[in-house]
Amino acid sequence: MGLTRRQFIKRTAALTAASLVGIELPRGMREVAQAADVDRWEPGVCRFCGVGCRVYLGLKNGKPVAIKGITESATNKGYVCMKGMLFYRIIHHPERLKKPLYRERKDQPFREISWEEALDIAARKFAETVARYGPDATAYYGSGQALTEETYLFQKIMRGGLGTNNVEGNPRLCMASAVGGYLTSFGADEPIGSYANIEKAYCFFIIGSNMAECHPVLFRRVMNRKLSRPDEVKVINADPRVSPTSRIADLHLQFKPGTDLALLNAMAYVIVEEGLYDEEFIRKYCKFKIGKPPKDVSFEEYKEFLKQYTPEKAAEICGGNITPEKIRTAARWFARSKATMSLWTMGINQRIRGVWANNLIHNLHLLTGQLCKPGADSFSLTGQPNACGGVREGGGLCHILPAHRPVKIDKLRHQVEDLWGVPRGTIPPKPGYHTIAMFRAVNQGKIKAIWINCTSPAQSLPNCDYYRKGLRRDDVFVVVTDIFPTKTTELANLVLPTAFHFEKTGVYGCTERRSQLTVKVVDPPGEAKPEVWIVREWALRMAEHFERLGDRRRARNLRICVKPFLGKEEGYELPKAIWEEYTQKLTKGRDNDLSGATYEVLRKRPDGVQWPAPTEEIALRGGTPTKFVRGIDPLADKHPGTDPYVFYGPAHRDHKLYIWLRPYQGAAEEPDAEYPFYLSTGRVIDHWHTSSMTGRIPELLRANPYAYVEINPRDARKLGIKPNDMVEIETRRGKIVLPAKVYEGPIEGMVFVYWYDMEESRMANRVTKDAFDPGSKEPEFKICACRIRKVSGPRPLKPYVVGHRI
Amino acid sequence: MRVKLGTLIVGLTALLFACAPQKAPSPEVAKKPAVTHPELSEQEKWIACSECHRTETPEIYEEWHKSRHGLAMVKCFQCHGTFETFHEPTRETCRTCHAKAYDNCPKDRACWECHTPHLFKKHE
Repeated sequence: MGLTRRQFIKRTAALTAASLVGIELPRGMREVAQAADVDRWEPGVCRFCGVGCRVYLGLKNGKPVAIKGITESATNKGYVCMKGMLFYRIIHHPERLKKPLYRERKDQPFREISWEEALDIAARKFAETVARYGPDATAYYGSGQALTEETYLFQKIMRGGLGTNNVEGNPRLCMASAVGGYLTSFGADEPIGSYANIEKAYCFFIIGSNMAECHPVLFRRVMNRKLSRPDEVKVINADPRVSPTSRIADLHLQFKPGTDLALLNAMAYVIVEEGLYDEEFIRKYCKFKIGKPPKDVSFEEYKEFLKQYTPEKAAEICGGNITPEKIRTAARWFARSKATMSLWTMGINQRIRGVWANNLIHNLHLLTGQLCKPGADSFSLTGQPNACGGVREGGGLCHILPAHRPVKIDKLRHQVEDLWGVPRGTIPPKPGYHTIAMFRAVNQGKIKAIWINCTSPAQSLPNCDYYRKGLRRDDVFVVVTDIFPTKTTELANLVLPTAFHFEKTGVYGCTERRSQLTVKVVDPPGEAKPEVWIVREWALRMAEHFERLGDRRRARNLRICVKPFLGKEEGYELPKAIWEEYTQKLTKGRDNDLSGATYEVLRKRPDGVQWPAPTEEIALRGGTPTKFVRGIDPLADKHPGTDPYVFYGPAHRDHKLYIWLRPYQGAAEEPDAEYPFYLSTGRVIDHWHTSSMTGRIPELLRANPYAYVEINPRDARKLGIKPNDMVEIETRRGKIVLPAKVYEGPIEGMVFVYWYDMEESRMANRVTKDAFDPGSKEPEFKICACRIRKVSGPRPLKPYVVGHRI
Repeated sequence: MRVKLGTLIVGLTALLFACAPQKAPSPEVAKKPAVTHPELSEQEKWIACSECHRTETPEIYEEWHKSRHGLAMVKCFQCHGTFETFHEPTRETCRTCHAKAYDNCPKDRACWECHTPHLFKKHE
C-alpha cells in the first residue's frame, strides 16, 4: 500500500526524531572521485537537445566514465545539464540492442539473426514492395537525433535509388512551423543570429517555451544575463502555464491556451499606435502581406487590420491574467529596449496555426527593427540536436531536398539529380507524405514497408493508439533502427541495433546554424553498427533484388547512389565521404553553404562552423554569426549596394522581409460542455523525448519516475482532487490515468501532462489530437479538450520503460 | 554567512550523534562517511529528494531553490546521486560544469569550503 506524501513526511519526521538507521552509503567521496578520474578526455557534442553543448567524454581504460563541459565552448560555456552530464552511461548500458532481431509476423517472438540475413530481408521486402505497389508504398521516417550523414544517405537512397519522396522525420512534430515561419517572413529558414546575442540583449520575450527544462543550458545563459543586470534586462514570459522558466520573468503573461495570436497582434497594435516602430527599417526592408497566394497591402491597411486587436479586445480574448496594461507594458519593453531577443519552441510551433504564430513574433521584430543588430533576434529554439543540421538542411522532410531545395522546383530537383549522377526524372516532383499523412497511409495499407530510424512514433505521434493500429498490420513491414527497445520496436518485424553517439562519427547542426563534429572513440557493443554502414549495405543488396526482379533502372540508380562510399571504413572514412559529398556538392552555392567546413576544418575548429561558410578560410574563422549583415555574412557581401543588410533568402526574390496580416484563430478542439478542460503536454528536465534512454539512467528516472497531471489548485478544489490522487483524463481519443500534481502552474481550466512516460495507462499521446497546421503540417500537441475526474486516492506506482529491468 | 554555516555544521553533527543507530553498526559501516537518512521503502524511493526536503530541511531547500543552481534546475541527484549511490559531491562532480574553476582552485580543498554549499555564491 502506498503512502500519501503527507503520511510519508509524517513518517519521515518520526524517523528523524527517533532512530535514524541510515541508508547504507556505499560510495564515499574517495570512491566516486576514483570513478570519475579519467585517462583521457575526447571532445564531442551532447546527444540531447538542440543547444549543441560541447562536452568532453572521459575515458578510463577505454571505458566512458564521465562527461564535462568545455569551458571555451561558444554554445554552453562549460555548462551541461543533468541529461548531458549522464549520457555516457548509455554507451555501455547492459540493455543495449546488440544483435539484429526478426520475426515474420508481429504476434511472433523475435529471434536473433545475422546481419547478412537481416540486410537481405530488409532489401528484399523493400524491393518487392516497390515492384508490386510502386515506390510510394515505401517510406523512411527519421529523426532530428540522427547525424547529418545518416539523414542525407537515407534520403538519397529513398529518392535517388527508389524514386520516392516519402522521406520524413520527427522534426515535423516540433520544428516544421518554425521553418514555415522563417520562410514566409524572412524568405530563408533558420535563425539569423546566434546565442551570442543573449549576452547583448536587454529584453527577452520568451513565449511558448519552458526553456528552463527543455533547453537548460541556454536558459542558464539567459538567467545569467538577467542576474547580471537585474534592473536593466527585462524578461517577459508568455505561457498559459507558469513554469520554472517563469522564475526569472519580470512579467508573466498567462493567457488561455490558443489565444497567442490575439496577444501577439495586440502587442503589434500597441507598437503601431504608440509610434514605437522603426519607420526606416520598415520602409527599406519590409513589405506587408496578406493571404494565399500572398497579396501586397499597405501599412495603412495593416493598421486597419490591427484595430481588431486593441489591448482591450485582446485581453478579453486571452483571459487569464492578461490586462490591457500588461499588453502595453510588454509591447513597450519589447520595442524600446536596446536589443530584444525572442525565444520560443513547441508552445508556438505545435499549434493549428503554428506558422502564423511564428509570423506574428517575427512581425514584432520587423516593426521595431529588432533584428540583425547585437542582441536583437527572432530566435526559434530547436528541440533536437540535429533537427536543423540533419533534417531541415540535409533533405529529411518530404517536400525538401538537401540544402533547402523545395522538391517541386524542377531546376533545383534536376540540380540534385545531376549532382548525384542519376538520370533526370528519377526524383518525383510531388512531395511525399508528411508525417501524419504518412502514418495515415500506413493505417490505410498504402505504405507496405517503412523504415523508422532513431525515433519512436508509436509513443510520440499524437493520437498514437490510432497509428499503432496501422503499424501492427501484418501486411506492413516495419524496420526499426535504434539502440534500445521502445514502444516502436514492439511493433517491428526487423530491429537493427545501431551505434550510439561517440561510437560513430558525424556532424550535428544545432539551433544557431552551427555544425559540430563528434568523432568515434569507442566501439559499439555487440554487433551494433553505424546507420551509414547499414544503409550502404542495404542499398547494395536492394540493387541485387531489383536486378532479380527485372528493374535494372533502380538497380543502377542504387549503385550510383552508393558508389562514392564503397569500401570506406564505417567508423570515420564513410561518414567523412558522405559529409564531403553533401557539403562540397549539395550545399555549394546555397544559402546554407558549408563547403568550407570539411572534416579537417571541423577538427581544427572544435566549436564548429556556422553557415554560410563558402570557403575554408571563412570556415576556419567560424563561419557566419549573423546572416544578412554586410561585413559579417559573406553571401550578403556578394550583393551590390550599400545598405547594411541584404535579405537574400532564397524564398523571397524581392529580398524583402514580410510583415503578415494573420488573424487570431483558436485551437482545433476547444473545450466545450462535454470536455470542459484544455489538455496540454510537455517535457520535464530529467527526460529526453520518450525516455527510452533517460529512463535507463537511475538518477534521471528517480528524479521523475512517472508522469503527473498538473492541475490548478482552484480546479482541484472544485473537483475534490488532492495531491497524488489518481485522476482520469478523457478526450475524444481515449483515457489515461495519472497521479495529480496540484500547484499554481497551469492556468485555471487547463491540465498539463508530461509525455515521456511509456506506461500505457499514463502515455499522454494516447489522448492528444492529431489535427495539424495546414501550412507546416505540424500537429497541435499543445491543445485539445478533455474532461477529468478523480478515480481514487494515491496508489503505489512504478516507472516503466520498455525492456528495462527496474 | 559564516555563522549560519557554522550553525548548520554544528546542527548536522549534533543530529548525527543524537541519532546514533540503536543497533550497533558493523565496524565496516561505521567507517563510511557520516551521513544518514531515514530508511525508505522501495515505493518511497520513487519520490524525488526535493519533494520531502522542501519540508524536512527547509533551510537547505530554500538556499538551493534561490541559488543559481536552483533557478537553473541543477537538482539534488546531479551532485549527490540517487538513494542507491548517494554520496557527497567531490571536486570531480563540480568539474562537470566548472572545469576552469577545478583547474584554478586549490587542489587540497573541497569546492564548498569557499563556495557555500547549496548557495554556491562565488567567494568574496
